[in-house]
Amino acid sequence: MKEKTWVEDVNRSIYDVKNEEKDVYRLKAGLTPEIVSQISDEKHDPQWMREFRQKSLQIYNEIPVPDWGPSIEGLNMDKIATYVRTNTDMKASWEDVPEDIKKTFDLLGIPQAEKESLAGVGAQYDSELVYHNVKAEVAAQGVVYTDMESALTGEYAEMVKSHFMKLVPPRDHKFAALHGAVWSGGSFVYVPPGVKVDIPLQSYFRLNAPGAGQFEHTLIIVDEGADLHFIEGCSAPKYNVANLHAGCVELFVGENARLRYSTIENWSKNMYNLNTKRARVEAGGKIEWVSGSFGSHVSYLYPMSVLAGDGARAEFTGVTFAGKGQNLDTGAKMMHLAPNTSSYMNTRSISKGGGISTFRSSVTVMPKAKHSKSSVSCQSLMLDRISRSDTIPAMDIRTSDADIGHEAKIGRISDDAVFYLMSRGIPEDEARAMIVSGFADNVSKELPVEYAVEMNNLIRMEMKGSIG
Amino acid sequence: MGLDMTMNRLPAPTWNWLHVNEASLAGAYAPDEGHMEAETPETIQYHVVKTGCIALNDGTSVNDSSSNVDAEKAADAAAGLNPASMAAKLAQIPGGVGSDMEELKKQGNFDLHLWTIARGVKESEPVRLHFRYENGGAAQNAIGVYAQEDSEITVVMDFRGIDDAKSVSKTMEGGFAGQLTENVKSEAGAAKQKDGCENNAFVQTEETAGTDEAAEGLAAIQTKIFAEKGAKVTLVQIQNLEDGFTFINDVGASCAEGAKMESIQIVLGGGDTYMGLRTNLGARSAALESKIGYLLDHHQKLDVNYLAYQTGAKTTSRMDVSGVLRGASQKLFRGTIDFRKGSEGAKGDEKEDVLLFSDDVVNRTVPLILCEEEDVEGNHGATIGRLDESLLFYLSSRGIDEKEIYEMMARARIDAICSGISDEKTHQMVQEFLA
Repeated sequence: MKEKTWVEDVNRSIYDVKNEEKDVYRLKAGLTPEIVSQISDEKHDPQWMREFRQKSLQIYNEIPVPDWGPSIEGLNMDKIATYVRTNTDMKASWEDVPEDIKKTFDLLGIPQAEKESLAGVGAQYDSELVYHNVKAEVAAQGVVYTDMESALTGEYAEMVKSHFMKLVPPRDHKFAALHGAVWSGGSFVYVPPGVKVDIPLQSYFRLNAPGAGQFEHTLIIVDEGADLHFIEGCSAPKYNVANLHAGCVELFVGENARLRYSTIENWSKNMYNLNTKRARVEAGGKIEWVSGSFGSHVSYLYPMSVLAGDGARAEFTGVTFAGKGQNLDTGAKMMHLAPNTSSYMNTRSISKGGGISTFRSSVTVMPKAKHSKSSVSCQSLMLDRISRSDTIPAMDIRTSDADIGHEAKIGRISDDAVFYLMSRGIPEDEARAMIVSGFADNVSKELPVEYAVEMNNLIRMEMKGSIG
Repeated sequence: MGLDMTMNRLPAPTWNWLHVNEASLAGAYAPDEGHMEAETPETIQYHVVKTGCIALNDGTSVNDSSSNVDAEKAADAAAGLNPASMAAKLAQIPGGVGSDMEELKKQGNFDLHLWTIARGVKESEPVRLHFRYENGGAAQNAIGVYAQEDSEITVVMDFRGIDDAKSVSKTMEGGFAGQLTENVKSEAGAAKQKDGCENNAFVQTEETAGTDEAAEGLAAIQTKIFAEKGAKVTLVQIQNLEDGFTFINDVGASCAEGAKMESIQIVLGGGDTYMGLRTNLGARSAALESKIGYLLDHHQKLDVNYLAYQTGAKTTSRMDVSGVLRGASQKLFRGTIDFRKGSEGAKGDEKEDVLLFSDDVVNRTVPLILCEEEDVEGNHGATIGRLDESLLFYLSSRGIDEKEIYEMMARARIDAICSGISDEKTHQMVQEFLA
C-alpha cells in the first residue's frame, strides 16, 4: 500500500463573498414566452431580437437535453431566474459602482488589474454590466469595446445583427437555444483592420444571485490584419441551490488577423456551466484559446474553431482541474474546411477528491482542406483512486492530403519525481503541488503573468485538499 | 422478419453529430448456419453444444439442458467443466458487437461449435476454421474456445465466398481448403449418430453451386473465448469476402489470472464489415494483445469496436490498428481501454496508423481511455494521412515512383500485422489474398 498524506482544505474566501440581494429586480423563475417577452421589454430589444428570442425559445422546447455528457438532472429550469439585475446603470467609473459590488470586484482584483495591465474592462454582475471602460488611447485606434445592449442599438447595430448567433445558431444544441431566448449582458468588441491592441481587454462575469442564470453574449470581430488579446474571467459564491451559466462567445477572426481568447473559469461548485464558444477564422488568421477550468459543479465546455480560410490556424491550450463534487466535461473542436489549415490542441486534466474530468475533442478535416495538419496532445493526471478521468477524442478525416497526429496519456504522479523533490528538502505535499503546477504549465505560461499567478494559486488551493 | 441492429456502441458516447456512437444495420436476417470446414489437431477436443443435446467428438453424448443460456445453471455447472458448463460460461461473456448480436442468433437454432484444450497442453498447430458463404446466403455461426489452465491454443478462421475459396485453394500448394474436411465431417457425423440431433454445421463444398455474378449476402459469426489461469488463446481471423457481403464479426473473451488473449484480424474484403471485440481482463496480470490490419477499396466500409475492460491488477492491453483506405472506402475504429476499480498497476496502449490513398475516403477514429483507478498508465497514439515526407523523399531518391511507394507501404502494413502469426499456412493464405 502506498503511503498517503492528507492536508486540510483552505477556504475560497475571495470567490465566496456573498452580497445580500437588495434593491434588485428579479424576474420570476422559469421559462415561458411571457418571461422571455419581459426580458425583451427590460432590454428594449429591437423587433428582430424580440422575434429571435421567441423563436429560440420554441427551439429550446423542441431539442432534447444532451444524452452523451454529464448528468444535468439537478438543473431545473423552473427554479432558475433568467434575469436579475441590480438597480444601477452601467458606470464608466468604479467610484460610481454601488459599494458592495465594487468591493466584490476589488477583492477579485479587477480594478487593480485594469490600472496595471488592461486596455479596457467590462464587469458584469448577475444579468447586466455594472462597469465598462476602455482606455482612451485604445478607443482612439478605433477599437470598439462596449456592452452588447449598447451595440445592439448603436452605431454598430447592423454589424451586430449580421453576426449575432450566426456562428452558434440556436439550433446548435439545447442550451444555445436557451441562450438565444434569454441572453443578457456581455461585450461587443470590434478591432478595425490592421489595428494591434498591445495590452489585453478583459470582461469579468460575476453571478451573485442564488438560483439564477447568467447568459452573457460575447461578440468579437477582429478585422483583417488586426490583433487582440481578450481575457474572460468568471466566478460566483457557492449556494445550496443550482445556478446556471449558459453564455455564448462568437469570435470572427479576419484575414491575417490574430485573436487570443483566454479564460480562467472559477464558478462555484453549485454551478451548471453549459457554455458555448466558437471562432471562425479566415485566410491566414489565427485563433488562440487559453482555457483554465477550475470551478462549477458540471461543465460542458468545448471551444470550437472553424478554419474557413486558406492557411487559417487554431491553437487550444487548456487545463481542467476537477475536485470533489465536480464533473467537468471539457475539450475542444477543430473543423478544417479550407486548404493549408492547421490546428493544435494541448490539454491537461487533473482529477482529485472524487472529481470527474473528461477530455472530449473532435478534429474534422473536410475534403477541401488539403495540406492540412492537426496535432492533439492530451494528458490526464489522477491524484487518487476515488476520482475519475476519461479521454474521449474523435477524428474524422476526409482527405488523403492531411497530416494528423494524436496522443493521449493518463497516469498518476510519478513517485520518483516526488521522491526526488523530497530528497531536496521539499515536503511531500508541496512537492506534489509543484508537480501538478508544472503539469498545468502549458496554460499558465500562455497567460499574462498576473493571471498565471492566479491560476497557480487556484491549483495550490485545490491541491491543499488532496490525498497525495 | 429482419432485425434492425444497433451495434458497436461506444461505452462512453460523444457528440451525436459525429455519428460515431454506434453503427446501425437495418433488416439483418441470417436464419441459416454458415458453411464451415474445420481442421482440429488431435490434442484439441471438439464439441457441438445444442439445446438439450451435447455431442462430444470422442463418441459419447450427454443430454444436458445447462447448455441453454442460463446464468445460475452456468455458475453451478462451471465447476464441473463439461462442454455444457463451458458453453454456459462462454454464453455469459458479452461480445464487442453488443446485445443485438444475441437477438440475431434467435433467428435460427445455432449450435455452439466448441473447441477445448486440456490443462497444461500447449498446441502449436492451430485449429483451422474455413467459413464459406454462398452468393445470396444469409448465415451465421457460433464458435466457442475454452482453454483450461496453462494451456495454449490457436484458432485461425478465414472467411470467403465459396467460389473464391475454390480458386484460392487450387492455387495453393497442398490445397488446405479441403485437406482435412473428412476429419471434420466424421466428427459431425459422430455427433449425428450418437445423439440423434440434427446438425447442419458442415456442408460439403461440392454441394454448393458457384456463380459468375458478384456474390453478396449476410454473414455473421460470434466467437466466445475463455482462458483459464495462465492459458493463452490466439485468435486469427482473415476476411476476404466479396464486396457484396455484409459481415458481422462478434468476439467476446474473458481472461483469468495470468491468462492472455491475442487476436489478429485482417480485413481485405467484404462490403460492410462490423467487428466488435470485447475482452474482460478481470483477474491479476491478465493480458490482451490485439492487432487489426485492413486494406479497403471501392465502397467498402469497416466499423470496429474494440473494448478492453481492465478490472484486474497489473493487467495489460494493447491494440495496434494499421491499414490503408483507397477509393471511396470508409473506416471507423472505436478503441476503448477501460481501467476500472481494482486495476492497480494496469497498463493499456492503443496505436493506430492509417494511410489514406484517396480524397474520397472517410477515416474516423475514436480512441477512448476511461479511468477510475489511480495507479495506471494509459496511452494512445494515432497518425493519419499521408506518408512521412522524409520517407517519401528517401524512397523517391532510390528511383521508386510515388505510386509504387504507397503500394509498398500498404502491403508493409499488412505484413507487419501478419508478422505476429506464427503459422506458415496462414501467412501463405494472406499472401495469396494480397496477390
